Amino acid sequence: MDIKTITTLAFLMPASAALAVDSPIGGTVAPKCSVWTETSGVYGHPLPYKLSTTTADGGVAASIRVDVAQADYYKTRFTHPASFSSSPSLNDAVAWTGSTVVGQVSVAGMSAYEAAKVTYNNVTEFNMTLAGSTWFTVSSTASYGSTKSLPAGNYTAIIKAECIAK
Amino acid sequence: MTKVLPAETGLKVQGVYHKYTITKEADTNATVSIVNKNANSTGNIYENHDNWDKIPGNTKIGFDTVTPSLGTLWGDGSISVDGDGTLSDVIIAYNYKYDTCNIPLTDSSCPGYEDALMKYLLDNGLINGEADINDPYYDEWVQFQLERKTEMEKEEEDKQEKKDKKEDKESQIETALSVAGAAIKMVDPTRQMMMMVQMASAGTLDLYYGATIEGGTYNETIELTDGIIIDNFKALRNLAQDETHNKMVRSQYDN
Repeated sequence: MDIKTITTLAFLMPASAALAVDSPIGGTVAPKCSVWTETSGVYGHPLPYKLSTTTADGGVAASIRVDVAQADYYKTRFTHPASFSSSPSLNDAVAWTGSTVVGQVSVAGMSAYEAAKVTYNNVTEFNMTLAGSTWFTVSSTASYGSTKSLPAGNYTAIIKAECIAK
Repeated sequence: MTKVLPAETGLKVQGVYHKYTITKEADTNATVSIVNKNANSTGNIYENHDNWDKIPGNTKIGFDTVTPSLGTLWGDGSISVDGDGTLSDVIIAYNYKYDTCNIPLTDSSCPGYEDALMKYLLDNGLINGEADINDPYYDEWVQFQLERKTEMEKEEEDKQEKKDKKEDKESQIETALSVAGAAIKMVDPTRQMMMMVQMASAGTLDLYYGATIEGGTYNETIELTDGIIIDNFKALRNLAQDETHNKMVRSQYDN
């Protein structure tokens, strides 16, 4: 009885090794939330010390669209500028203000995002509870040295827009 | 909708884009409805309702894809607010498509263009129909066709005439020389003679074949009186001059 068992094992082992394969399972994760800049912001220069994206100041507010394919899985975070990414040399402080509001919606219910948004420092967060597109309007204002004239040159500031899984 | 959509045959609406701004308080109720009546029956062919209850007003942008349907089915459209709110900056746009070959006659590259063209010509009496005899161009056309026919007939006759002549000539020679099936007869001298007589009597052998050479004796007419033939010095001198001439000509190229 013992001999038979040993014989069987010796036969199965090589056969098992020869038939072993690695079978991969592939998959691609498509983004369910995407962020697009529809309108780039432009600073107006209403006063010597001030740069502003508001229309009244001759600027253009940035419009950023967020497309959410799956409802209630994401939140978006907008960080309006707190410094220039490029500018002439500045030797005084710049006072920054800004805001992010819901501009346009593709679903009426998204209009409620505005009232439910969370704001802290220069960050604004929205809870994307509905699927569809939402346009956010981001404005920014920079005042130099209280009322000091800004040096001539080109100024650029960056808005950070993120789509974050909840 | 006839004022909005093009009048192209076969045009189908496949989507509706809308953008509007509703102004309202967040604690009021309002519903915005965008509808299109069904042109061929009661009811609406398209409806879109946005519920703005208890939310602040905003600008809404939307695009609805719909099952493609003929543009002629789309009746008058409207957008309205039911509740507390007002609309502004309203844009409603219809996305449509149409087959440019829906009417094959529009483009010669469309499938079925030839058939459609033929049908059109037939339907409008432009071919195979009764001609308008009062049409001044009709007489010209008839005259042209008659002249064309006459010319064609004349050309055809000339061709046939030439062909007939050629065939006749060939036939005469063939008949004259034909000995087909006469191999056995030719062996018999009598019959051979009879065949030659038959061929000659048919008149198919013309004068060339029937030419006769007169027989007789041709006597010598030149007589050598002294038995001496004198050289022709004149001819020799000419030959010498020719040689001199050739040398002179040749010398131009040899140098």
